[in-house]
Amino acid sequence: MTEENADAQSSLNLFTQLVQCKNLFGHAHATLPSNRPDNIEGIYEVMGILGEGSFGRVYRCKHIRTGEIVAIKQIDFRYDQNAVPSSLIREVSLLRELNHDNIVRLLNVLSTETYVSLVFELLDQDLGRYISRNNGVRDPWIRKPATRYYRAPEILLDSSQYSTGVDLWSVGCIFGEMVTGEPIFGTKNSFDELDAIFSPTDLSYIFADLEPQGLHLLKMLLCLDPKRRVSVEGALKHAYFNDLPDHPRSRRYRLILLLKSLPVHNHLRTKGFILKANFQDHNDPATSSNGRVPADSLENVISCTPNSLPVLYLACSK
Amino acid sequence: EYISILIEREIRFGLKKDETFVFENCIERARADAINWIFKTRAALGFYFQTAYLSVAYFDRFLSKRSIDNGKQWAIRLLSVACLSLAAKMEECNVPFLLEYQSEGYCFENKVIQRMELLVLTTLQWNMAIVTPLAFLPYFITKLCNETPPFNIFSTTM
Repeated sequence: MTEENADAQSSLNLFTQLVQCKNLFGHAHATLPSNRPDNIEGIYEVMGILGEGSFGRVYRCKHIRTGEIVAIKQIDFRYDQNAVPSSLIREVSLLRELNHDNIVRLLNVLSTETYVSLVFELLDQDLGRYISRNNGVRDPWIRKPATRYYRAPEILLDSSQYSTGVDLWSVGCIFGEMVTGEPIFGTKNSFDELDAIFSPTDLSYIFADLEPQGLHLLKMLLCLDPKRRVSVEGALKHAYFNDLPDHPRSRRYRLILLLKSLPVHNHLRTKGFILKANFQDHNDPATSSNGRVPADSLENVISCTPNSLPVLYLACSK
Repeated sequence: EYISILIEREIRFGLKKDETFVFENCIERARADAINWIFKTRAALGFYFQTAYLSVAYFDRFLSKRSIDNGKQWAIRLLSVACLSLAAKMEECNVPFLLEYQSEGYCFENKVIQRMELLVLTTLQWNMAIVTPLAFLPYFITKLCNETPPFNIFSTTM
């Protein structure tokens, strides 16, 4: 096949993917039972709704006998063709194994025929954020991983075969954000997101302040084709890190830590994790309003990295 | 380091040392049939070997905690279906529809499989990320042979 042909072929593919994408976006999402229950399995009394998302609802509940206050996440799979959803099985089996102060503890799992209730310890302030972040992380019915601003094009295009490359894309986005202070693909929805990603932009113009080596690395990270995107090892060997300043708050230093944390994430997450930050600064409007994490401290930078598959609620406390 | 984590997890979630599998004869036979079916279906659906292995692990763990009356054949088959489907959901990228697990005279409704899945999940207390010996293989091969394990090591081992 000539190169021109191959190009035409690939843009045709892209088009088909986009059309499919559009169809997906048009779907109505399955309705939840409209009334909140008074109690859950007769064990917990429901006190209020903490949040709602694609997965179901989260209630604030009280254990009727012990008075313990918990958060119960109800996941409805009535409309699931394939019985218990795999994301749920993976999520729960991981949470079952984790027992750490910084990880939201899963206290119990109650199941009925059509939904499962996950009983979590309630972290007052924080849980609100966990939910809001979670909403951001997973769009209804599509269950897309990674906060949208940092989502790689292959995820946005709904490819089912993506790999560690999605994290490097996210690193690129965060890197760019460190430079400009704004999310570089900060848009309202996934459609605009794709539009922003695919609109021809000259990175050297936007990142005029960035050193040439840094720009080069950024371009390698934000490579549209996941196969040609730089790997973690490749990025760490990049000339941009040759003379690393030892100032822990410098951009390069933070970036290198971020890159180094990826294999750890991947290791945790071969079976699926999402990191969740425990931000101390609850008054910071940027973190509380839209679930977006400003890339202004190391903890934040690491915590808003990328994730794929289901969920680990790991709180990186300071 | 990764290996030590694996070992720890294997001990923590594995079977107790003194817990051996002594099944009654009829269960023993049914188990052999079930394993047979699991591996046949694995091949038919193109699953990894790990997936089949994992489902056998679920199967055994389930039976070590609950019993199936007289080893009723349909119940055993239903259990195999649920275990394989659960294992696929843990291991495979593309999970087939429940319908595709049907075969050989048994036809279970989705609802029934779902109920069985839930029963297995509760029985195993949702500890589904079981460490199987296969998880150690790539490490030891790299250590002993000083080369990266080939892609198909699992099938060769089996």
